[in-house]
Amino acid sequence: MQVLHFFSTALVLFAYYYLGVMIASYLPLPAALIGLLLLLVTFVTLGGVPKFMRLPTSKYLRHMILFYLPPVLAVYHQKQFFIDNALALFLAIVVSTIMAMGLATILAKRLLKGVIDE
Amino acid sequence: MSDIFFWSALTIALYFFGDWLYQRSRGMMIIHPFILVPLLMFGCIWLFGYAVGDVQQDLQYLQMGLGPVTVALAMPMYNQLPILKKMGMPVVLAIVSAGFIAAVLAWLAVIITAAALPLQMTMLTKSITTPLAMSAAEVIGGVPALAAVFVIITGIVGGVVSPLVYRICQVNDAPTQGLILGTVAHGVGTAKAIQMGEVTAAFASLGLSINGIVTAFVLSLLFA
Repeated sequence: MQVLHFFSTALVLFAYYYLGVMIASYLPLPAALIGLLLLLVTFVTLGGVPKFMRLPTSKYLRHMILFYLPPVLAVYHQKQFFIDNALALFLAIVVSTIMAMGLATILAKRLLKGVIDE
Repeated sequence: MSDIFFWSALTIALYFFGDWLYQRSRGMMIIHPFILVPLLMFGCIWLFGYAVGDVQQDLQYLQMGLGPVTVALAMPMYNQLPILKKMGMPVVLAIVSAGFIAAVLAWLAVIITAAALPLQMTMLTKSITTPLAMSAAEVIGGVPALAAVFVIITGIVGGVVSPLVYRICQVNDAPTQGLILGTVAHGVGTAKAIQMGEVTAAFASLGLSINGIVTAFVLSLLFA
């Protein structure tokens, strides 16, 4: 029975993704994002995530890194890129992330003050 | 055909080994499956005398799962809707502005150093969750593989500096801490938030979800 749930959940996810792919040829949005939003709207309309999808979906998400290993191998072709852009990468990834975290925290503290105190 | 089977099976085996090792290390960043497994794969590719491009080709069936598994994020996002309804606009505003700050600061850094356009475009996606960052980078003229690497390093940096940032900014409440971790440091930040407690984790997931959707949406509309 559980195998069936895993299979049907995969089928639903593929169907929504390919629906996203079809719509993406008319809209400037990533296909996966369109599929995600459509599935989210479906859950809202149904008033919840169908029971058969809950466990398989969380298992698929738990291991999602497996599916993005193949595209990450492409980094190999970018070795020179990392050497050429070392300073830009350090500033943009390390320095800007630390600054963004500080600024965003100060802003969020102010914005959420009243809400969290309630 | 046999190469397709061999490399797919090997990738799956290496992934589960990396995942097992990471769980046993209780979250040691340096052996995160996303860092360790590609390195092991490059080792195997070299050992067996293959070309990286050929192996990527052999893994195309495994890669077919990437889109659908990204769609699956709809479930955790749906589960965050009650918090969103309860706290309303201030939370959305906090997440959207944090996402905006993260993207703009990263973009300014690459502009200052006069980096090439594909790098600028890729950098804009660095604070959103990997699958959405890769899809968005592809649509706006960035490099998906680089987006994945930038996102992971951003997550690690965010996770490491967050305790210090909270101390300096004197933020002690779990909702704000979680929200910032999920928004700026996405999946890696959310994993850290899970260790910090249930409320922190819920707000981190909310930050990750909303920032991921809004940033991917806005970037695609602006630059695609």
